[in-house]
Amino acid sequence: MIEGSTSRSNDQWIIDLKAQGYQQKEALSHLYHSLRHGLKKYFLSTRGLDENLFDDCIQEALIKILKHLPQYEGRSQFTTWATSIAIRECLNLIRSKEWKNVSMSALTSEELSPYKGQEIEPLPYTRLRIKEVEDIINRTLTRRQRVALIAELKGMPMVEIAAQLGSNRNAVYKLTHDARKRIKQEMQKNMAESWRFSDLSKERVPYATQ
Amino acid sequence: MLLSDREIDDMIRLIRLTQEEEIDCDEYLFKVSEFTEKRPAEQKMSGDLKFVEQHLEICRECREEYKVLIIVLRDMQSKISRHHSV
Repeated sequence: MIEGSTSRSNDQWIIDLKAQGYQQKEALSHLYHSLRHGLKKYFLSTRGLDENLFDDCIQEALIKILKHLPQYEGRSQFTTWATSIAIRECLNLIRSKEWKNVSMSALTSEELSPYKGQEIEPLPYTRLRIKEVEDIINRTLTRRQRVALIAELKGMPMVEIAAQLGSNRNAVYKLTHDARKRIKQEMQKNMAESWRFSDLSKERVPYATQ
Repeated sequence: MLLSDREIDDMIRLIRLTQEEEIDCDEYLFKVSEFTEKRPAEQKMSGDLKFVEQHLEICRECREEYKVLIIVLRDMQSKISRHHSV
């Protein structure tokens, strides 16, 4: 998919990148220039990323690509696979820069309190349901789960949540996945008679059926 | 009150979509290229790619990365097409 990639088959990329010496160096150089060429328009022009930082991201992506070569299963173009890794590297840098001065503890320091409508006062049915969800969050989640979940809902990127928790993105995902499962289980257990998930599918407007 | 209306809506949507088994962001990353290349041909995803689809529904950041991948690949396709038509 990337310019210059047609001269190497998927298998050849793997052989060359796994090789030592000049063969690997030449493949890495080819991949570096291919990724740079493919991504520069979006990241330099559209996103305004500093060119030196962009180059650093591509270099970092190459290290990750080499590290994770065994995970490439040959089910797509190698260059598409490599591009997805480089995109994550660049976006993670942008996210970190945007959120570096935001403290997660400041975002999530309060205990969740009963819902108060901000723009439109919700009907009692809605307020009751949201209060129940908030009670579940306060009662059943660990502090780490609650903080990670709320920070994520506030838009904080996982890479920054991970940095502030001294963790990594996968661990943060697992933390919030466990939190979501816990909330869902509690809802299903405690509210089986009154709570149908289908009611939640279209935001908070099932009043007409009540 | 910590959460806005929109954040509460987001949370409820996420809880609704939550599955017992989900793939994490790295598992997603190593499969998204296959997902991207197969998606136009296969409307219904099967096997591991179903998990990729579900992860995309849940994870805002992976969704952003996927959108950028699509933009970049389309851009490259159009460059290749222009090159071939010259």
